[in-house]
Amino acid sequence: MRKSILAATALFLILSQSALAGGTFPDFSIRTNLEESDRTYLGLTETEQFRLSDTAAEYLLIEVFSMYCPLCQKDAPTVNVWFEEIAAEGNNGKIKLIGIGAGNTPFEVEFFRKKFNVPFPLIPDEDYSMHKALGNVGTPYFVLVKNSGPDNLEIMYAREGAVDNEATMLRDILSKAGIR
Amino acid sequence: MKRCILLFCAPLLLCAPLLLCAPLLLSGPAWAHTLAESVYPVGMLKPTDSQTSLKPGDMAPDFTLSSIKGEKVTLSQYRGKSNVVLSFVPAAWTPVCSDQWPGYNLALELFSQNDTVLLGISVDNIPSLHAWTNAMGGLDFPILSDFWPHGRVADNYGILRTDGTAERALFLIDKKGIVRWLLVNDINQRPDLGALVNAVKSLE
Repeated sequence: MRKSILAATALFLILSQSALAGGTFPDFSIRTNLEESDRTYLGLTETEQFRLSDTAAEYLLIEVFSMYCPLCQKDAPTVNVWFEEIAAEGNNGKIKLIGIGAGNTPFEVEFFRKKFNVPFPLIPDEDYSMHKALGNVGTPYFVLVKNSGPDNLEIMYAREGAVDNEATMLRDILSKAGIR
Repeated sequence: MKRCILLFCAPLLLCAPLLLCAPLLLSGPAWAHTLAESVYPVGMLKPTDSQTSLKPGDMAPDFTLSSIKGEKVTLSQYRGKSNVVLSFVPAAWTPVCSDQWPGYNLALELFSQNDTVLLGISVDNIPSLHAWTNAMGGLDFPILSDFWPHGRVADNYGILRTDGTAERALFLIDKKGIVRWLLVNDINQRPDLGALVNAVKSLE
């Protein structure tokens, strides 16, 4: 019994990882109330619903997080610094950041945004539907996708777990986006 | 369905869409590894397994419990001073619980801004609660042990489950010691922080 559980665990891990690394990211259709500044940042015209590929971004750096996740809390200031550094790189907004709050209600996402002054859009995934579609990744989960249009989001970089070296991670992300 | 995360709970995926686990931490500080690897996957549980008779307007049963800091905390010590939120969780080292309190810890200002203190209560003994709290990175509100007589406070509040754990329950008690709002949540899910904060804000 124990062996079968271990085997199932290994299989699950293999499947869940292969579904993400080097693959295609789901072009989620997101219904949410974005603030004007967030819509402008993402270059969106629709006010209530958009797909990730609708964003005016060549690359999207997506963080799956949770207000309740201690590591996400700890890493929030680092990700804010990344936002500033990515913006400072210029490149006409080549990379845009977006956060997906796994299992977080709108209230919880908004609290996290205010608490850490998060300068990029955060999307509630209250029913875990996006999180589930991503194979129930652990949080935080960082993924860089190349936006080549509808249903064509190529995963360039993915990392599950806390930031251990923020400079190295940012360098890797920028490198995968052809910057630096 | 509200589920939390985690690959290390994969074995239980065999048993269903059941797992509410703390985040999987493939890397990070040592304590994070400890928490992720130490959370016991409980599977899908009966949503509630007790029936409280308490309702808004009732006097909250008083109690004295020891905290993991070694203090004795008595509910009535807050009488006339602060509102109190009691957050009962089922057990240490279990899914959902292992991120519910870190979330509340982040949001403590939402309570204090409204003259409200938060008390976490579990039926576990103090050494276990001490280790679990450390594994969560520390918590800045009192964590109380309802271990002995086992679960007596949970039982007095009508939320002791038949297996000796407590429900995932919230009680908001005003400065007069009266229950003003309560929520016995589905044990498998995390209650929305917004509903709790709205209740706190609604107190005069």
